[in-house]
Amino acid sequence: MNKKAQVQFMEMIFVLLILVIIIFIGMIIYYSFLNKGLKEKSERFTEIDSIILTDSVASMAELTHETGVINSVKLFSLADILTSTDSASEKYREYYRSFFGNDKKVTLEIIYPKPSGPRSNDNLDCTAEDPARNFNTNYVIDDNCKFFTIYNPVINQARKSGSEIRKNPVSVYYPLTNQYKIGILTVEVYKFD
Amino acid sequence: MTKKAQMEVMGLMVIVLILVFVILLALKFFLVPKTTSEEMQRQSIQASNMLNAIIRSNTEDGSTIAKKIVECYNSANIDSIACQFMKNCYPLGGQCDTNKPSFLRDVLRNVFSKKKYRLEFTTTSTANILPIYGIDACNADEATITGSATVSVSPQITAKIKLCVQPQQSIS
Repeated sequence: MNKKAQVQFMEMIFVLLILVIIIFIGMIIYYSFLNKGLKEKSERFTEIDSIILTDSVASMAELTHETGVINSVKLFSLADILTSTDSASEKYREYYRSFFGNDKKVTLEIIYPKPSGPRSNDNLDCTAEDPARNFNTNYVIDDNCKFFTIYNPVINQARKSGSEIRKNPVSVYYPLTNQYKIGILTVEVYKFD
Repeated sequence: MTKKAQMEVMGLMVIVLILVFVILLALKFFLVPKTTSEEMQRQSIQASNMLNAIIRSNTEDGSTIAKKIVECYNSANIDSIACQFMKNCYPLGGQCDTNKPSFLRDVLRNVFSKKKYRLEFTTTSTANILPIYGIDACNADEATITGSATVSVSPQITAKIKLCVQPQQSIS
């Protein structure tokens, strides 16, 4: 091979090398965009899911006083069903499991006016456990209830990798005193590995 | 210039054009703001829910927020007792007394913690004494309104919430 041919051969190899590098960089950028797009779509679906759930909870007949207003007494009725071990109410628990899903925790926090009872600073969750006792003591007798758990799925904590929280302000009705308070309905969507 | 040199220059120009096109495409993906019509709809729903909950809510003394706003408006003096409830801050040694209820701290900051917001009450009278919450936000012309809602408190008073992003800030 003469010297000119050698130079041209080297030039061709150099051009091919650069082309391969450009294609390789292009593929990396393409896959990073694809990955980012998929992640954004997944987050968007989770967000839509939680928005739908927040709005659904605020208009569930078994929880509301009127559309968009949650009746605080009805929260205890629902909690009674969800925390009971009674086999007769298993079909209701099954219904709510499928309604809320196994990856979403739904809670309500009263932000204004704040509870005024003697234990109001204890951040009591009145429906997380033993709702009947809490109803009689911390709701009817004293105004101590700051939090209400509406649904709390049983999850494998070891598999949980994170969560996304969505908040929506709602009006909460207290029928015993005929008062309205401002609450935040929070949907926490768990992410798993 | 020889024909070969001309062709090489043309090839170089084509490569430069392709590079510019690719860079513009990448910039479009990176720089497009996240504000979408869906997001605006969602924030408007949130603003509307907030406003309805505020106007309907009772206060610590058993009155309602709507009544308090009207009383404050009728008193025609922001420093009157009727307007105390609506104050953002009760001074205590140069700072705000955190034990006193603050509508701004207890409600608005709690819900809109990461967002810029402005809650204002507009009246039919020219002398509007009612407070504005989030006074520095959503006011400047360059702020982008991402959600808003309006509710009538009384025949004279209208409450309005605006949620917004300032330039270079994404919706959170």
